[in-house]
Parts: sequence; C-alpha cells; structure tokens
Amino acid sequence: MSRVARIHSCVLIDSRRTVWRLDLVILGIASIVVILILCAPVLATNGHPAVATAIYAAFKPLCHQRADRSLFLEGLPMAVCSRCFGIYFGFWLGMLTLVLFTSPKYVSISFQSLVMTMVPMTADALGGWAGLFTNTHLSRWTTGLIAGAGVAIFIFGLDLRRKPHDE
Amino acid sequence: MNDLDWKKPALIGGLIVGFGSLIPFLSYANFCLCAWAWIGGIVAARMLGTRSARRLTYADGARIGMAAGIIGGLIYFLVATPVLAWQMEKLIQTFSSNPQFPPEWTETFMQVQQNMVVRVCVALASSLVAGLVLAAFSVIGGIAGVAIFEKRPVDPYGNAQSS
Repeated sequence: MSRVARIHSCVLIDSRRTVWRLDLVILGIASIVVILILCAPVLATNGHPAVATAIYAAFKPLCHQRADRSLFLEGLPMAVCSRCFGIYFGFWLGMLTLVLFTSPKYVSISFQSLVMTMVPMTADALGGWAGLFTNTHLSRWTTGLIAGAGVAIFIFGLDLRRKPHDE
Repeated sequence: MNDLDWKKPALIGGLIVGFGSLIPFLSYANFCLCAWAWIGGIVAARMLGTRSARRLTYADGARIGMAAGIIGGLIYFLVATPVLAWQMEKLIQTFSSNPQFPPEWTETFMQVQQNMVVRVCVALASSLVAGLVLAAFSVIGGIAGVAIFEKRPVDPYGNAQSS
C-alpha cells in the first residue's frame, strides 16, 4: 500500500471512529434515560424509595406523570406517561438499531420527513383532546415511538463533525 | 462553529430554556415535548442565523442548540436543586396523594423527607437528570430552528448547505 493510500485509509478509519464515538454517546444518554424511566417503579417496590423519588422528581418538570395515562411496572406507574415513554423508547431503539446495523452515510431523512413522523402523535393527542376519539395506551405509545424513532434517524443522518466546506 | 458569533445566541437560548422551565405555570409547557427546550434551541438558531454571513448547516443548529441547552440545563440545575430540597414536602405530597401508590409508600416518602442529606441528594440527582434531558431536547430545537429559518440559497462554491 502506498504512503498516500495508507494515510487516506487512516483518516477514514479515524473519522469512522469519531462518528461511532458520538453516536455511542447519544445512545448512552438515551439508554440511561430509558433505564431510569423503567427503574423508578422497580426501585420503589424493592426498597429504594429515595432513588425512586429522585427519578420521579427528575421527570416531573418534563411530563404530567398522570397515573391514568402511564404504563405500569410492578404495580406502579413509570416515571413518564405512555406517550413520553414511547418517544424516549423509540429514540433509543432507533439509535440502537442504526448504530448496530448501518452507517450515517447511508441514512438521511429530510426535516419534512421528520415532521411527518410527528403527525400521528400530534393527531392522536389533538383528536383525544378534542373528543373526536378516545386514545389508548397503545395509540399513545405507538405514535410516540414513531416520533422518537424519526428523531433518531434524523440525528443519526446528520454528520455533526462535518465542516461546512465538506458538505 | 468557531467562525460564528455563538455566545449571545447561546446565552439567550439558555436563559429561555432555564427560566421557562423554572417559572411556575409557564413551565407546564414542558409537558408538551419539553417545549421550552425546543423554543430555546429555535431562538438560539434564529439569532445565530441573523448574525452569520454564511448559510447555517443542521450541524451548526445542533451545536448552538447544545450550547443553549447546556446553559439552560445549568441554570435549571442551580436554581431547581435548592428549591426542590426546600419544597420536598410539597413534591412528596404530590406522589403520596396519588391513589396508584400503595399506602405504605407514604411512610417511606416521609423517611426521605425527614433526612436532610437524602433530601439534598434527591434534589441534586433529579435536577441533574432534568437538566440533561432539557439540554438534549435543545439540540433538536437548534436543528429545527435552522430548518425553519435558514432560507439563504446554497453557496455556488459549496461552502455550506443545510442538508
């Protein structure tokens, strides 16, 4: 292999590693958030009320935490409602799938497509609010999941390291 | 983003994220997909766009959103921690009054409330997590801000484009 080709391949490997690291950081944060949401009721029923209280309190400013709109684990509501859990879980699942099975250069959706992934969730929320239909845990969770996965695909497709002159 | 004047947009965006999430009643907007974090990120991206001579990329939006989110998350953390530690009774009353929580929980909640060290730790941990989630949503807000407001044509020399 010539010197130039070797340098070129090193640069490629390095840039791929940087992309990986950034994606892994995002995936790590999403994983922590999903685990915290799931852990709150489990910790509460297993003798760790202080930690559970901290997690419930952490998500209090971000979600209404209405028990009738939340999924339950071990007889207690999760730290966020079913729609919010769908969003966080969808983002995590989308990011995990993309990190494991593909590369950012093959994944790209437009901002308009991202907005489209949020249409079902908005329709579900507005329809339920206006009394046009009764939304369920499944509809809230599924539409949230689609929106969360859409955000994951959109962010994964952005190469945040890229300088303007590279684009 | 080094060529851009990002400090003031990040600060203004951060103030919106932080104080929007702290002020009573106004903070309820966060129940809608962390709206204050989105708004802070969008405003920061808009301000950056008006100050920039070149077309912003989505990556610029993500970076300014992240900067605004970190400032906003820090403001939230610094203000919410003492407030939460001080008002722990109110928070615990909200949880213990929830019919879904078993009655024996009230007792365990009271244990948390009575121990000052645990109160402070609970307040610190919860404010930190909430601040981080706000910062994460601000990144999406910054990207959305570029998508909404960046209308400049692509540079013929390919210097910057937003998709």
